Amino acid sequence: MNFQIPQLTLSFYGASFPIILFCVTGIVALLMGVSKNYKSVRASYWLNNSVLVVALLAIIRQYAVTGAASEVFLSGGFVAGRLGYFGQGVIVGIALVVSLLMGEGYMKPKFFRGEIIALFHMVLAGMLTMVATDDLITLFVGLEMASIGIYALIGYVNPTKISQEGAIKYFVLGAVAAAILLFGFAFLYAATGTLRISEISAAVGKISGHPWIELGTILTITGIAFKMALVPFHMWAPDAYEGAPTGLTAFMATAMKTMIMVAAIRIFEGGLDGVHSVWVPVIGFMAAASLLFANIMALAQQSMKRMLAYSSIAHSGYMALAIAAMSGGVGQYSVPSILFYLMAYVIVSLGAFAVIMWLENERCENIIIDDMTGLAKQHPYAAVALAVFMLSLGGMPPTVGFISKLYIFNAALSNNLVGLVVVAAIGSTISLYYYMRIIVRMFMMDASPVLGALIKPTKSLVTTCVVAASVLAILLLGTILPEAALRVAKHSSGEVTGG
Amino acid sequence: MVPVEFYFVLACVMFMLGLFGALFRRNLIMVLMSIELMLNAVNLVFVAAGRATGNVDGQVMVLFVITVAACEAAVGLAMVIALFRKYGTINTDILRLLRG
Repeated sequence: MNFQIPQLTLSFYGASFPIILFCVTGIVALLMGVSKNYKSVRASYWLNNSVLVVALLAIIRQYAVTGAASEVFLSGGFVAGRLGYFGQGVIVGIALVVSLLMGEGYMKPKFFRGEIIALFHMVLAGMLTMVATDDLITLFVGLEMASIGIYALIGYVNPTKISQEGAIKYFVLGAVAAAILLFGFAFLYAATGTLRISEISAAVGKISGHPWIELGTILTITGIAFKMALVPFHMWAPDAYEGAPTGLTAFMATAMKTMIMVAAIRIFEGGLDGVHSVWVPVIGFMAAASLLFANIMALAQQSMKRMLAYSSIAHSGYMALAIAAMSGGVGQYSVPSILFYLMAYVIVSLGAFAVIMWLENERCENIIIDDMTGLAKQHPYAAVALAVFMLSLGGMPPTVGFISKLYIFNAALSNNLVGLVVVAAIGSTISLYYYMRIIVRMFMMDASPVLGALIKPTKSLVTTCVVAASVLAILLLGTILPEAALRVAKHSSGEVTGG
Repeated sequence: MVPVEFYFVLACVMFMLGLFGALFRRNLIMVLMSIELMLNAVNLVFVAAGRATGNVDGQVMVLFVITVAACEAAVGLAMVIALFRKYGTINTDILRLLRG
């Protein structure tokens, strides 16, 4: 029991500047929402986007100047390391793209309100906190800041019956997941006497086999699996993804996944590697179940968003496979492969959701797969872009989806998880059917006049730029640049793998 | 002094009651109360473990858990009210727009 007054130096404020910035602008946005003069959509739009750009630049600068050793502040509460800044950069980048896309469509006046932007920035502050901490208290508070804000955003941005239903289902299961995760933390604390991840790592080596630490590990992995939406605990994901406004669906599918993956890398590689014989079978089973079940369920879906939700569960399965491969001190292969997969998945998902958001309007809020019929005749560029995204999600060779799966399989094979790789390959084959189905509808069928009249997208410069950039990134990363991206992933993962 | 395992067994029983309540109750207020019960079971483990190990972190964590539980209850009740205004009931059986 030693109490130290934490030394808040200037370098702490520099390192945690984005988090502080989002907390402050969250409050500013809330005040703007009730003020007479700054209530407008335009004011919120400019506040939000300029703050996101500033935060992104600050994070990139911090990432560039951070050395191989991470700096620890607030006795573990905040860790300024490359992995944390990598996660923060990806999350803020996603938030910027999603905000720009939200500013184009019919959702603009609904999303850019003071109270919504306040919630959005608080969510971002929570996410940035969670990816850059070594302390389970801070990690939990960050997770809950992000989750509670998201529950409210889903039900509140566009309060229809369907989004309120999605919000309530997500809320109940998310709260149960948080309680399970906390129960796991409580038993880890009871067994080791500390809540610092790095100290838990040192302690589990000495006392492995203790029943409390095994119970704590199992409960922790269950809570993480709930948040990652792995298969027995995935029930909330399709409902929440379909109910939420599409921009928020894109944000949840990418930013929440980045946050929880980085936290999972920290907990399992950085903290619980000593008891990997307990959690590897559990997460291996869940990865296999996700890969098979989610891909089979996606075959039967009609709604585009719901299909992408099941697809995102399957992609969580691939990343869980790499988490299982992290065990036993071979993290130097599998942690970079997770980060590379995350980058690829984020780029592809944002592109696909950008196309879907562009097709939506007030009369047609939930695009179904039949709406895609004959899209190539009316909007050939959009159809080609969507085809590239679908091929990449399915893992076809010239795209980044193929390379990223290759790295994951490679990492899993280097840890002798042959059975899981076979299951993943089978799941990947099943998934090709429903991705191809969309391509077939777009290019080989004529549109029915009723459906064609419903979707009349207008030209949008932002959407064009986002879609073009992500198509370019997919093809470049899939052919000539994967080495460069993998180097970034390796560089970022040095913080936990010690390389 | 009561051995620390007794607190853990009590906490596990409370947690399981809360878990079953949260997953099988049909009334959303009861679901919210069950979630609170789960979080209180967590608090019990933290306090007991903190006392047993002589480490103050557990007690600090409890304060954070209480705060977060209050936020969760506030957002949850707001959602329940919004749902009641739309449907006139807070039974979970009405939530059947999203399936499959």
